[in-house]
Amino acid sequence: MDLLDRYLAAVAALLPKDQRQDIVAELRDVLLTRIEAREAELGRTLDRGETEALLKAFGHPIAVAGRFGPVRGLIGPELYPFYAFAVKAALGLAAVVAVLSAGIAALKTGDAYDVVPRAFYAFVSLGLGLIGGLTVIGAAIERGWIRLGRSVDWKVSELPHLGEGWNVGWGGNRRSPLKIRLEALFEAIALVLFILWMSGLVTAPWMVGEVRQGLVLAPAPIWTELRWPILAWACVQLAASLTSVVRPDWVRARAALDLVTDLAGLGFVALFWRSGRLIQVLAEPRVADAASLQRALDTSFQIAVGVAVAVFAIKVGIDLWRLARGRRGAGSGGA
Amino acid sequence: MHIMPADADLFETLRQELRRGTLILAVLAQLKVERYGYGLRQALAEVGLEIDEGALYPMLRRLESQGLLTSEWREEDKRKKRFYRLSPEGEAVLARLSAEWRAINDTLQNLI
Repeated sequence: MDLLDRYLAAVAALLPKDQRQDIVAELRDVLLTRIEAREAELGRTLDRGETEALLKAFGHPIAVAGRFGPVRGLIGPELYPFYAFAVKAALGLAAVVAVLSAGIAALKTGDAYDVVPRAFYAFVSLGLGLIGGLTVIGAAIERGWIRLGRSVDWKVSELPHLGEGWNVGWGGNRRSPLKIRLEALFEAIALVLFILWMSGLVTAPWMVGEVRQGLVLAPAPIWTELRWPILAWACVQLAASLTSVVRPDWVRARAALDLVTDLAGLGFVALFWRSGRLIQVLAEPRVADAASLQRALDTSFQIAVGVAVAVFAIKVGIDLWRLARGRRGAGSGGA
Repeated sequence: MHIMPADADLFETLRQELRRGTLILAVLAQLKVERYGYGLRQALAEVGLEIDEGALYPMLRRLESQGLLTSEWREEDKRKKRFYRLSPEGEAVLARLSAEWRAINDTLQNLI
């Protein structure tokens, strides 16, 4: 019976101390009864392999011992929706903090090359840390180690106003104000970085030529010629984004600003198209492939221009429609 | 009707959920008379209710900790066995659960 003793010892090691002896004695009886029943069927004693198979069929010691513990998930079904909501909010917070911290770091160092990996690393480390912390807190609440008491008491009248977009039924599938605000906030952050790069306060990755095997990729002269118009365009776009953050219900005002920037965007695309290229390849005379690289870049640019024209044209159409329609359900009184 | 594998899994999950609550009722009902675990399992199997040992013994302990069962170690067939039976509180709960079961059964009979 060394196998049975070994199996029961493995189970016993995982059981609560105060119940260990009692549970193991009962399990021993159960398993011995099983073995005897099997031996009666076969008319002989079980060999080592058959005994091992029987014990294995009873279950892994961790699983067997686990069944005798309290039946409780780390986060129970009642608490889980609150936990899931907190995790989503924490990930949103981590994303904002990661982008801001990476942007500030880029501003301090004047080097924007590693802004994306820096933001990604900050998001992953902060996000995982927050999820871990929330899980520990959730498990502690689930087990009654943290008592919420009256702090979870709530009233319908104290729920936040989320605007019309959250209404269910007719029109309930519109983009919510919160979603519009979040999208606009991320757009505003990206635009601030873009303005800083264009104004030369922070070095942008595409503005510095890198020498590799005698090749330098440099911005085309059109970038310098259009520097101030592009900056003005980005500032108007920033104003549109900030308007969306502050007043997502000002549909017509936002549509008007978007229309201006999208029409300007079409104009910039036309000017870029006339210039013929965005990036120029400067090469030492000994580099033979410079011309083919320039052709490849120019072809990519032409394709990108076609896509950009389509995107801006669609956006202009949507802007005009939003401008004409205003806020649905608010009649002609939409902002 | 042909049942797809995913449907079969779903059916099995729903069947287990449906069965879970009724097993407790069956165990309580079988323990009006004193039985030890293996004997209880056999008695349930004889009436068509197979129950996994891995689920049965923890259930017996939980019901005992809830005061619905009492248990006693006694020697039988030259081996010490733990015998379970309904406590007075368990009998009262069984009576209430049985009434509830009959009410649910009557209601569902009209629906399905």
